[in-house]
Amino acid sequence: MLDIKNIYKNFGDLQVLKGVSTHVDKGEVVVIIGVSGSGKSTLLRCMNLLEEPSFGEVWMEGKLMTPPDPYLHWDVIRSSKTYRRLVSEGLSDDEAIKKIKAEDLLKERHPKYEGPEYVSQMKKIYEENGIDINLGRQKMGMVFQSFNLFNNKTVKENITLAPIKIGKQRLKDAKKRGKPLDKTPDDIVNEANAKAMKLLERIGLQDKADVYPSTLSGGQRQRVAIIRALAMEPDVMLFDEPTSALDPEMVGEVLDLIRDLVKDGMTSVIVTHEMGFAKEVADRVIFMHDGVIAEEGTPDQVFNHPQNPRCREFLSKVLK
Amino acid sequence: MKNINKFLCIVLALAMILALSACGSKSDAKLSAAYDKYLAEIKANGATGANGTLTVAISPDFAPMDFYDVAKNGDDAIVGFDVLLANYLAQELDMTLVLKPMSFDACMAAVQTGNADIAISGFSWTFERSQNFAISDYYIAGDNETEQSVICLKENEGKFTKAEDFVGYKIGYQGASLQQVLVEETFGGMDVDISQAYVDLGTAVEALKAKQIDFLAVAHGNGDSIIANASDAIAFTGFDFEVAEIYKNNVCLINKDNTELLDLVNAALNKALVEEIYSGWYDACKVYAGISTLDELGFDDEGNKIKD
Amino acid sequence: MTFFTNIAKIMAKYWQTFLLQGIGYTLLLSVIAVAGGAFFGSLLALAKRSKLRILKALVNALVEVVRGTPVLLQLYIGVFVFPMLIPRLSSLPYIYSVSIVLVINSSAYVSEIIRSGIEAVDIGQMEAARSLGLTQRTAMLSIVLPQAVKNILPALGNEFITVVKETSLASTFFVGELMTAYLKVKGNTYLTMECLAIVGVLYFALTFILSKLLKAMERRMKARA
Repeated sequence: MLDIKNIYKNFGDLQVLKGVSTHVDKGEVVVIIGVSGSGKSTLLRCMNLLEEPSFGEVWMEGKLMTPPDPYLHWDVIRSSKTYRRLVSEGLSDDEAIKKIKAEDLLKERHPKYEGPEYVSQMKKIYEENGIDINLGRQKMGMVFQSFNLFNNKTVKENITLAPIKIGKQRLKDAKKRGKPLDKTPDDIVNEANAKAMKLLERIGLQDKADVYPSTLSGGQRQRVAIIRALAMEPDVMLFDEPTSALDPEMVGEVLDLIRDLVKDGMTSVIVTHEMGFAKEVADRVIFMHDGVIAEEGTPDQVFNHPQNPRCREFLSKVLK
Repeated sequence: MKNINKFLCIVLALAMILALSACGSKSDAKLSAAYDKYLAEIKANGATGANGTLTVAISPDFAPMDFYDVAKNGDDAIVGFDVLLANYLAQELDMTLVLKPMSFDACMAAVQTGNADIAISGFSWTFERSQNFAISDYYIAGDNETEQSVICLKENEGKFTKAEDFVGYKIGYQGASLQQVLVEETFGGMDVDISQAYVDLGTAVEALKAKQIDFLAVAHGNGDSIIANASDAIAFTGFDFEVAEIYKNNVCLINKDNTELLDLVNAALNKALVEEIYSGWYDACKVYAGISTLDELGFDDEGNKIKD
Repeated sequence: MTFFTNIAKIMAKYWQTFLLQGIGYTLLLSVIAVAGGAFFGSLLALAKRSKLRILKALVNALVEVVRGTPVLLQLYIGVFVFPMLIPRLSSLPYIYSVSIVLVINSSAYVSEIIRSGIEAVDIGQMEAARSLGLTQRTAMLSIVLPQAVKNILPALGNEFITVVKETSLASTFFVGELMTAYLKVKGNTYLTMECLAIVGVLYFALTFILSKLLKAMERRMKARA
């Protein structure tokens, strides 16, 4: 469902991610653990492109959300002038590709330098697979450490804003294409409101529908933030340390809600420091260290039989 | 509620000031009678404006040479001796007059940058100005420049008549003015404190009132204006400067490159001087500015000069 | 006591110059400067967030120059140099050039107010909106800007009050506002302190009423959110 291919992320000179590849299957729950600064939050943010990867590709349900990364497509490399030059200098196909990848020889900033064939290859990949970044994001719900509820909107408006705006835009686009949908803008508003109330009922906050987020407790805010993401009916949920900013007595209610979602089969990627929770809900655990995946496996493998010494060290500190 | 009351108070207070002021204002029509007559005479010359516009930079904060009649609108509101002269020049040159009011400093900048053709604002000849501008021939504005005097607080009226009398005192003047030149020439070698220059005459008068300076050097005409508004506090000392011929009169400033205009203006000024065209203007302006009455200066109520 | 009788005399004769012309032109110039400043300042703020580096650099340079030079100097340039660039201006009264300068000046300050107002909104608000699939534009318009306005309005009010006082510099070109009224009447009467006292009271009254109005507006904004 979600494919991460060879992601690199640099902030200036600082390399935060150094080639991360993984995939998330439908219905799977992946928990990412690791020390602060290991790149786990950055990896999550790269998944829905809140951070744009420096290299690599993100694929959502078979659609490419990032620009194509030429190093991931051998055909593209073979179409470049640099490759042809290396081959004419006597390197074999395999050697040339390895050299280009290892030394970052493609002139990406000046794609024309690599010749028209290279440019058209890149274009072709994007045209065949590319997807508007906003469309991709609509399929991913994101939950932030600091909730990020819209301060200027009521709880209900927080939940309905995106469905209404995007729903109306879809109506317009459909009309423009000459295939109008069988809906009015009012239908969209009513549907969004009804869904919002249903979601609020699910977390028992229906009486808070018309208050502003500043009057809610931290736990309530995070639960509203979660159902705000659910209102877009995402195919995968990304949780970025959802309980880290909460007072201890409120952690439970948020974890209960996430547990509920996971039980219902929601595909999820969760960055967390709650090891007990990770063990309980994860189908697969990823241990990040220094910008790479250092250990990956079932909870039993990672927590009980870790192979990587860094992972062992980390777990011995957090599991006392 | 409290706030609304406060607002009401302020609004009421403003309304009262307005009402009181309105009651107190009376017509000044008579004061301008002589002036209006001269202006009408000048304009009767019948210029068509065939030679384009004459843009004049003027600093109307200097009664009676250049000032505002607040009862009038637009360009008409700027009045005074220099305005009559500007109108006269426009007629002689067959040009349409445009007055551009601005501060004294800005007048010079306007001519230098070509935003005004000529600056007419009670300028005196100075060496520095002669370096940076084409300076016209002189014109004589009554006693405004020919007589240069010193004013003081009322209690010293008439007590200081010779330069030596001022030893040990402090005498102020407007910076970069003819008075500064005169003060420096007259008292430079003596034990007189001449360190204080003022940015404008009004400020200098306040300093005199506050006894920050003992004396203030002024053109006689400005002195008249000042005393007319503060006759209980300020008076002439009785001392007049000896004014070299070159300082006695006013000049116009023209852009250095515009010699053509300079020649035309000089011809017109000389004609006015020879034919005594502006002989009554200064008195009319003094009346207009409320410095003298019509009667004192020998005008009848319609503004006709009946005696000298 | 003569001081107050002098003021009464001056007001009797020149009340229109101060109260109608003076206050009228001061308010006119201030409203032009702030309204123009708000409009063009918003455009400049947008340009500052633009991806075009040249545009960004130009706007930043303009803002720095405007903030780094005295308003009086800008007025001189506006009055004497602008007409060389725009010949149409030279036949118009100075109040046009003066208005243009005040609008440019105010735009620079307002653009900074808007920029910092937007930057003061937690970046998480934008991220949350984008993560839901909203476009940059929608996120800006429905989430970030409404919150930024709350930071911007009080600062904009202060700018208005500053501008009211700054218009006094336009008196160098006798455009008619309060300080020009002072110059005119002082030029006629040579009663400097009295005239200063009058315009002082009037400036204070203007800014005081303005700041009260702005405070009332702020309270209403707060009550609503």
